[in-house]
Amino acid sequence: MAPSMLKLSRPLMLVGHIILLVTALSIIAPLILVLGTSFKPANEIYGGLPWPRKFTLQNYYDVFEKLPFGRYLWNSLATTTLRVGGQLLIALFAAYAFARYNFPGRGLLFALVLGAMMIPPQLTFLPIYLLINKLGWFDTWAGLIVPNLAMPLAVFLLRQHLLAFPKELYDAAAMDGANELRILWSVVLPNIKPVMAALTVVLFVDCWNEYFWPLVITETDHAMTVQIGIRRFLDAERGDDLGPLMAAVTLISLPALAVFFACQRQIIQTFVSVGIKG
Amino acid sequence: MTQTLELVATTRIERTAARRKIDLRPAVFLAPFVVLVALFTYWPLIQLVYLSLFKLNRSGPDRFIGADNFLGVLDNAQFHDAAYNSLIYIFLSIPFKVFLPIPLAVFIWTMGAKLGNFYKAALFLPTLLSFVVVSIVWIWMLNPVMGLFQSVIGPLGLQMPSLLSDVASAIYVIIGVGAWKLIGFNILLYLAGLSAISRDYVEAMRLDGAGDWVVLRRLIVPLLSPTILFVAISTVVFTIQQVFTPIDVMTQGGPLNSTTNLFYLVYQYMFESFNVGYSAAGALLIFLLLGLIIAAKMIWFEKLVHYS
Amino acid sequence: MATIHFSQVCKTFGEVTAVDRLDLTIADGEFTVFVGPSGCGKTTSLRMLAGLDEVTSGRIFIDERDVTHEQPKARDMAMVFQNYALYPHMTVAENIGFALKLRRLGRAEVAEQVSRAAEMLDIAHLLQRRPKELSGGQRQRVAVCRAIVRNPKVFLFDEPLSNLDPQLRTSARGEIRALQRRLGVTSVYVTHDQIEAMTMADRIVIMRDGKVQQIGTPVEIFERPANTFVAGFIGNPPMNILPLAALGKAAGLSPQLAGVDQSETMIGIRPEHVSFVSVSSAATIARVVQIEMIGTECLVHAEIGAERIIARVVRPLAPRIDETVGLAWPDDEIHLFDASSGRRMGQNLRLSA
Repeated sequence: MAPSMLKLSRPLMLVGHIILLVTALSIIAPLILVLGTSFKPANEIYGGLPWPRKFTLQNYYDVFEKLPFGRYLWNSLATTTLRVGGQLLIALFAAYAFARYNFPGRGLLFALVLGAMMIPPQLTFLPIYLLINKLGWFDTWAGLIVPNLAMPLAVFLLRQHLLAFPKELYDAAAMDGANELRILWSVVLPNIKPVMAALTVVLFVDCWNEYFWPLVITETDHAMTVQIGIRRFLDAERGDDLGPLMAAVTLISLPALAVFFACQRQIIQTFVSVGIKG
Repeated sequence: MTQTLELVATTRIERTAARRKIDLRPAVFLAPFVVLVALFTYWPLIQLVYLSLFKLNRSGPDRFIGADNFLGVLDNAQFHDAAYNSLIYIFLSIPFKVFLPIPLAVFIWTMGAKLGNFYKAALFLPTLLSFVVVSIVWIWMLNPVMGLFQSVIGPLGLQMPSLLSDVASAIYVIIGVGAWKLIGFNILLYLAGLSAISRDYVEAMRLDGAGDWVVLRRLIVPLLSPTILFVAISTVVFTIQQVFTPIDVMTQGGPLNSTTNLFYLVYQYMFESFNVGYSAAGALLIFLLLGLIIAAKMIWFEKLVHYS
Repeated sequence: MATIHFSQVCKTFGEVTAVDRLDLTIADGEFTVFVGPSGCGKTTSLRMLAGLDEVTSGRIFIDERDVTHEQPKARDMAMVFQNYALYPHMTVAENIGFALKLRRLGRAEVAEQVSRAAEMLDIAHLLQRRPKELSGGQRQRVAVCRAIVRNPKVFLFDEPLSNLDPQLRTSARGEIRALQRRLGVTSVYVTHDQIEAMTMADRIVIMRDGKVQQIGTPVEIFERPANTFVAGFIGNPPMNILPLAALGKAAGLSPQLAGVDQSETMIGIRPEHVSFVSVSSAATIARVVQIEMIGTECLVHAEIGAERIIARVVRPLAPRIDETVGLAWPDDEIHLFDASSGRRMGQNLRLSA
């Protein structure tokens, strides 16, 4: 962002600062309170202070005590990892084929990829749900992972990057005796590391935070993810056990926030180009 | 001198002349993706139409029932509530998700990198949180007994109203929560659009004596209009499904169906009343509704959008 | 060590014929240059030889072995690309050693061969750099080094010097040719620059619109161009080609030209063979319209009626602008072409050939 592209007049600028500051505070303040509450001992929870007088990890222990949170975390972590890994690999292969080869039907096939981007999941969840049941994948990791492995947006984004990749390098690698997988692994991948890294984070956050699909496809601790787990917890306690609830909220928000602050700038850009669905 | 030609190994030439390879490599690389998209995106579309027109029968062939499901759904009072609410969700989201982020993005754009980045990061935070988490945080804040707002206004002798259990207010809470989560992301989209605007234009306009307002009105908004259109269309397409989570976590469609929407209803048809046909017909009706809104919007925007 | 044979090789892209029935045999150790204007099919021919582009029809043989449908890696050729195609994420040493690594050579052996090849090209001090830290000339050397380190049967060069500045290009020409002579590896070199072709080639293949125009040594091509295209392409400035009829009575004076149909014939004269004589003794009269100084010599543009002719003469002999001059040339330095086909005619007209 280039500064001073447009200099606004002083009063207008002041208005801008006030509005932005209020908006930013409305976002940051609740989150700080959540964090503070998660460290409060039970007797302080309903006190007015934002931060605990006496710092405790009891709420975090309670989360694991009161519900199989470890199992939920494991389900979420494993299915997210497998799904994102699969999404990246499958999208990279497809994008590579689109960018590298000229084959009959390429235009039509790519139009179908673009078309798949426009089809909202709210339209297709029902037949997919029936199909997953038929395959016997209800309440399994496979049911969580497989229907989401093909990511048209990722194909689109990677193809854009691969089109800018110098074609001579493919030829040079072929002359050097590399086969297609080797070209992809040793020549292409090292040169698109930044976009792959950012895409990984975006897909990870997207999957980790997903609610609807795990809600319909999981039923027991066997496959239930953290998002559904915390929802169950909320139902069970209905806000009576605020400390552990806030600890759970903090725990399941942490991975995405951590990754985000580790590599903020690049991720923001990729978020914008991928357009996360929330 | 022209090269005298000799054909070496003529017989071998003839023997191999017919051999011709088709390049299978693109097919191999595309196969996983194509199979998955076909199976989990395009096939369900066809299947959905089928499910809406036929009555499934466990012990025999499915029975064609024509438009019965659609008529049934359309005749349903719940559906009317849900359709009405869906329109409210979509159209009340537009000022918050489409228009409010524009001035905020412009303010950030004109600031120095340091402050601008702080605001950007702060406003982007909710994008990273799950909707479940966001909903839980807001339930807690709005709780009339022990919520955050109550603890602020309680000492002043005021009582926080129970917004989520009031038919008149619950839907607006959910719209607000949706906007709170997504405003930062839309600001980023606008910032990406703004960064493509050349400073030459701004300076040229300044030299012509234009003030802030004129520059905004005559330059920035027109050049930003493709992004605005994009944000508007995504808001239309995704709002109904984005508010699913806050609806399910905060109100389950209540009180008195005041917060339910079409997508939530389709979900309930399927998983609470186990009526596959209604669910499929409802999903197709959503599709139709969104298509109509988008078509109308495109026509309306045609005049406003300026593609550079 | 390899001979290469193209047999009736064609390549079409949709409706466009890029290479039309290429027939060519390249001897072991020979340095062959494909030259022609852009789009003439020279690069496509090279890429088909490399295996990067599939042939549409025809066969390609290396050492009598049909490689028409072989993958590039099975052909044992190395290529130097126009933009060098160095892997940006690898160091120079890794770039050079990549092919060896793919052949599962041991780390030590790769390192040793890389440093030997790097010595040969005088880039040993650059081995730990990345391509973006190198100058254009250095990148070009790395690209050549990457080709020679594998000790391939054939070297392929795709306009490897076109991105260098003129001085570097001249020295690189000599170096590549010297290196190839030392290694004795059969080479195919593609360029659009006729000077590169003339200075480097054992044999030149001139192409235009997918068709071979002439194949021959630089001397053959210069002295006996097969048609007006070749005549105009090779030589700087190019050969003057005029309708024989335009020369008027001069044409009739030449004993070799007796019996040639003047209206159906083009005459070609290289600028360096045109000299100025007094008007009274000359058969052809022209008016000087422009003079370009190019060093010790200058190019004199003169008009014979509507036709223009260029003479290349040493400066003291140059006339002045607007001067009327008589033109002369040795009778055995003229080339005759059929006006409609452009083909060289009367092979025995030239006495010195």
